[in-house]
Amino acid sequence: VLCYALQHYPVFSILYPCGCAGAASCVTARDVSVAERMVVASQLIRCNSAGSSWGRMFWKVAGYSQPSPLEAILDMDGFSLEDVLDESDLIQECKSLNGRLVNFLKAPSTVRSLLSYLVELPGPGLNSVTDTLFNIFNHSSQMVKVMHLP
Amino acid sequence: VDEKQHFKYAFTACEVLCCEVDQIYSALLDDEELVAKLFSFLDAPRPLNLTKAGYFARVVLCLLVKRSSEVLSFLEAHLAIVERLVEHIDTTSIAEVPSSSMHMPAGFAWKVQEHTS
Repeated sequence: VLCYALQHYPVFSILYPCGCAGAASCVTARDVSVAERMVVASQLIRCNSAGSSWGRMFWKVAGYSQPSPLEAILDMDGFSLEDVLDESDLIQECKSLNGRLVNFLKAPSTVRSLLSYLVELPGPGLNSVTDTLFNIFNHSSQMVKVMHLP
Repeated sequence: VDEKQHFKYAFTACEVLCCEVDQIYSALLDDEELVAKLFSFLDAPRPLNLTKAGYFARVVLCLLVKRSSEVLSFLEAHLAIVERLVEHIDTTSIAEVPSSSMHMPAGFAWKVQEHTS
């Protein structure tokens, strides 16, 4: 079945590393349209990238997955956390557990910088009258909300 | 870094820390100084910046879901932080932290109660 599929349906060679028997039965049915096959492929990719090792293996198959622009940054000498944070691909790569990225992110110094961005305020901010007024109004509305909590 | 850029980085940092990557959580929780840095957000004078409070609460809630025992035992050892959480309870996002930790199996409610009374 595998040989047949690999010969007749190139798309199956993408699915092969996913190692799913279900795919084989779907793909070998001759009259399956290309669209349906692509749906099978996308579903497989989705369910496999949900954290299983097979999913991660899929993304590493050379030539099929587009290299993320993040890789170029990780290849650079002395890139900073800001460079990484500027990359729009960051969250996606982080969720798919990109090894090099996670290795960079788990360094204590990186975690510390992440936390300082999260926790610290950018110096004396806007202390305009509207800001103070907003704070007062917001504060009182929150108090009312809290008092009605069960 | 200007203010707008800072908030963008803060948002991304929050997203990264909410990705539930085990290795990042281990790096964070293994170093007590880092956990203390996270909770140092509560040291800011009132009223807290609401955007930042939302980011902070999201990260803490993620940690509470993934690593409840470690976070709760840290809070147990640092009751001053619990006290400060209660101090900021009028900020809705901060209020979510104690209220959701009450549903944790380890049982946290009495501590909050102790500090509110």
